[in-house]
Amino acid sequence: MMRNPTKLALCVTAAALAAAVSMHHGAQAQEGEGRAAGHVHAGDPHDLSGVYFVTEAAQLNSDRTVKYNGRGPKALPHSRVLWTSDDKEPPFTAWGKAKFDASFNGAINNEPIADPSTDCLPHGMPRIMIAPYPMQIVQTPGQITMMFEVNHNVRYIPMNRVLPRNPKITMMGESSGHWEGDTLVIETVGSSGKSIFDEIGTPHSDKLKITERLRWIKNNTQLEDLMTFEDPIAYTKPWVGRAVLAWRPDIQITEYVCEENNRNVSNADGKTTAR
Amino acid sequence: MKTSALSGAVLALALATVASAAEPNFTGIWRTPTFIPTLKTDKGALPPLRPEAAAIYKKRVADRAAGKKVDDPLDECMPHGVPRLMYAPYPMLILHTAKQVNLIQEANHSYRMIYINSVHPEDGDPKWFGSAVGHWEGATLVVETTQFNDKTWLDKAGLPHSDQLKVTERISMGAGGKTLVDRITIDDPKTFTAPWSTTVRYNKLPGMRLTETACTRDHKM
Repeated sequence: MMRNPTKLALCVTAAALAAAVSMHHGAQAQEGEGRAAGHVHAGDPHDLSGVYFVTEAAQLNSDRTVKYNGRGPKALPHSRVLWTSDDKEPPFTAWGKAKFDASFNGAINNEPIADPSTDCLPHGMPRIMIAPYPMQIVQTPGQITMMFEVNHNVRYIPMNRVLPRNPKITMMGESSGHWEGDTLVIETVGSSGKSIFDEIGTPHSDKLKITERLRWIKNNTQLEDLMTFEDPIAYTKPWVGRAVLAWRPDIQITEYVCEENNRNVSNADGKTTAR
Repeated sequence: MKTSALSGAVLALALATVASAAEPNFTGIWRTPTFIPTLKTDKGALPPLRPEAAAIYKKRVADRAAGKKVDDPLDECMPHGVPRLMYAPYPMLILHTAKQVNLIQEANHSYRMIYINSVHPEDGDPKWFGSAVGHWEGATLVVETTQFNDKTWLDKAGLPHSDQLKVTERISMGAGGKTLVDRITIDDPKTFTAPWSTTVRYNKLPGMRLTETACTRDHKM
């Protein structure tokens, strides 16, 4: 982070000594292999404040869609799909499989799927974590807040709270975070079954519990988000999905007004893409 | 290198300590206790509208009074804009950090990001919430917001503005941190004959959290 030492210095508040040491390490990392990999997050690993952008690592490998059950060949090159971290189909129950098939069959035929975000509802959890737009983390005492560019979604993660046994069902659910070493663990319940995992409609029910483990990887240039999904209605056993968020101190969140539909453009074939 | 980084950090610590003595922290949930459907100046007068703007305003007021359909952008789930977001009658979460003051309104999870000691982008597109930069004058956060589109209304009654709108806010805390005051100055030479000011007050709501709301065409706020 030697590009703008003044700006960096302003970030340093309380733990000046510790931060300075980390800053030094960060500078070294950027001189070395970190430079090619991207921007290096210097400083306290527990300070996640700043802007991120989901990387290609979480983007659908279009081959995966083509191969799915031998159907296709219409790939969905702009879709983000949350599959298991070892690239497998999630362990659907019959309920989950039926919902997925209905949505997937529509998606590969370019038919609209039951996607609440197209009605400007919040993307919901976990889908918001793979939405291909910038996201800013704001840390204040006792809370981590994620402010997403897409549809001005906001996700609140109070720290160290007890989650309600019968949560109110909302698109984003109710979350609680805590640190385990340098890993931020976030538990989320109450995410509405109206929301879907991804752009091909991987489903979940209101009973979904998500446990995320976020940590710095690749020389502190990316945050890895390993998400364990437990949902006895939609899945026969827990499974793990993976998103990777690149650290992007070079960009700012811009205005996105879903209601105005000012960010998505459709071509003559009706294909809608992010501008 | 290590020495310079260390001394830089120590200097930053010193600066932060000095700064925090003067600057309050607005983090928390706030709500204006009164709904302001018709925005007035601090003197309780109708803002000084130019004749063309006054005609638009009068028609909107008359249409609503007559039960006719009015084109309030909020009825189509469009953003409140600025300053209207600042007197939306819902809780507002402020997340205040060294570089940014973020205002998140419960209503349709709308947010403004105010960049401290920053500058407006030179090629900024017109926006619903404009571009906001702030600086501290003692314990008062001075926010200048510009680069607006002309699509929002300044109040429910239908007070118009143009894309020449510039909003200057002076935000400060009172009552030992229990209240927040936003003195708003509206400067829009295409709409008003002179700049004018109005004041919005908020109470702190400790222990409260924002709930998820969404305005869609099927589910109005």
